[in-house]
Amino acid sequence: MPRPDNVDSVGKLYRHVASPVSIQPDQSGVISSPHLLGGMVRGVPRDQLSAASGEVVRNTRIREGELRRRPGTSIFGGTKPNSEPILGLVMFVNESGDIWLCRITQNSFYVANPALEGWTSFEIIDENDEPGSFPPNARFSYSQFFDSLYMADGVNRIWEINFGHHKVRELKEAPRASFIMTFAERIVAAHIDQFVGGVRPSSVHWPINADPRDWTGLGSGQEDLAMQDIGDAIAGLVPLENDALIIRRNSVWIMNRQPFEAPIFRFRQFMHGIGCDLPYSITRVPGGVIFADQKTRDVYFFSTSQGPQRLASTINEDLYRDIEKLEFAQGEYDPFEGEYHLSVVFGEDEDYLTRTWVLNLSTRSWSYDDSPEISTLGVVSLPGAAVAIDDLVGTIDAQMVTIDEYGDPIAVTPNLFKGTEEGEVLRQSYDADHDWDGTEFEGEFQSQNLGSLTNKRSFKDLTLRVIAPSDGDVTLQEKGDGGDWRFTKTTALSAQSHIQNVRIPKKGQTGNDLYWRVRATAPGLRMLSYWVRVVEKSRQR
Amino acid sequence: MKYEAGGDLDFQLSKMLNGGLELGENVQGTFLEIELDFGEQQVQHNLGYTPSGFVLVMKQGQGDVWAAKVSDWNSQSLWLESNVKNLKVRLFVM
Repeated sequence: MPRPDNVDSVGKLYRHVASPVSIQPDQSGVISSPHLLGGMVRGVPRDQLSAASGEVVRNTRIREGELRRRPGTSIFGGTKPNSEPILGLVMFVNESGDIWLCRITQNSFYVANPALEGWTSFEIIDENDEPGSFPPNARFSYSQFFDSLYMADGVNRIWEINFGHHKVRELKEAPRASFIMTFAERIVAAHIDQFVGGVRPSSVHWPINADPRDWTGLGSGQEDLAMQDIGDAIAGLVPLENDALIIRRNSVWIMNRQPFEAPIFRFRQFMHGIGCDLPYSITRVPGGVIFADQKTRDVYFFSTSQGPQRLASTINEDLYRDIEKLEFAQGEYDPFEGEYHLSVVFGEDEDYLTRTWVLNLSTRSWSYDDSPEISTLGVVSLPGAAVAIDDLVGTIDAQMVTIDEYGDPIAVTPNLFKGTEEGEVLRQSYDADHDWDGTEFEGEFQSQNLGSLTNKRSFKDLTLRVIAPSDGDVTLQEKGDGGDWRFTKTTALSAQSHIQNVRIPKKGQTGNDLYWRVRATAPGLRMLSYWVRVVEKSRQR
Repeated sequence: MKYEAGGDLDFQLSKMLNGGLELGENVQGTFLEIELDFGEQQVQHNLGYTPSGFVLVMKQGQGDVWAAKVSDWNSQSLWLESNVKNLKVRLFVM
């Protein structure tokens, strides 16, 4: 009798049962994936899942086509000038090409610059020429104009930072605004507090051309968009090339410059029903803008040529579960890695940013960091190894400056900076093995459900292929049917440049719902691919 | 609004054709905002071609404006005439 077609070389009979589950073993009984780049995917039907995605993807990054344990963090700038929570970290590049890193707390403004040693304190002067301060737990909106940086904090008048005089001065003539941008050769301000008359959350003000101190002369003006839709507060401003976006709670508007002095701007609604209620998540990225909206439970990429694209369908339940203080959440774009970072206050009774979601814009895949706890994100670059970026297309910072405008290449090293509630400035890079406080965080990938709908299965011989740039531990585990993680196998890897196999050999977990996971403290661990042989058990009755 | 190549065609057409077309962006021509003296005067338009005419978009005050010396219109300037002085007008020249 000839051997049936559905029997492999070792005589096992594989039942090729039609199944709606998308992750299936091949004809030799192996479930595999050539990479782990699918990102975190939950709440998606099992007939639409990829074996390259995971139910949990934590403390990882995608680099050069591989999933890696994320970079560590280290202290930047030496001794911290104070222990106040850092509320803002922003880079400023002046017309001479000098790069300044600004560290902002409620009562201080410090700047680091290679030409100066350590942190330099800037004097904060309010509109009455008295020593000033910023609101507690403020978030800032920034705008660069000529050789000065401008800042809005939502309570005080617009601040002007003069890097030559080392002063931060509240402009007496400017309005109190929450959001500002540079557009049409002037600063444009929105969400105005009129002090007498109250807050006008749909109001837009602008000064005369090229003078941030004259908000009443010819060419200045204001527009209150509340006449069209009361309650639709402005959440942010985004300058594009010829237009600017006004992102509101329930809509997106476009602002054009007109060739007249009055009215110099025209406003019109571009889209209704989608808006933003995490104002500081709004971040300019190549081709458009990204923002998060808790009301519609998603994260959107928006451009005027394509409309809104949903980015967070695969993780929106996890992203928005248990988050608080929406106005403190912050988004930033890392242009060197092409990543959008969204930090949120996750967990009841938390005050600071305890979780950062990271979206790789090339693969559109998500992961999240659960450490370190931070008070602010900042995306900056400082002079270092010679990587000329003069040919970089796009903006370095969402609301700041286009590096291409400067004549000589600026030698920079890409760095992601973060601030803590105790005043530390952290730099995140692969130079650091672990976090700044010594935490040996775990990079984790947990597979999708690799079980069968109709049969019990057993894992047999799980193999994860990795490259370990540094010595460290990798732990594999398996679980099934809601039970605990078992079959734990921890491997101490030695740093090597070639691929190593990490395995749970022989027979492993049995069940209808089967998962495996890897947790690694090995610095920079590169997770390449995996495969697991499965053995079908009897059909469930 | 401007059309951006490479984007979503349906989306952009829907936006443009439903109240999104603009004189300054989608129609060939240029806005001029000028204050006219009494009588004939030459006005720069810098279109790069001889315009076929203009549309009066806004007029601030009593008076009238009309085309003058049409045969002398060229790629950089045209002639207008007003029957009052200090007449502020906004024209779309095309």
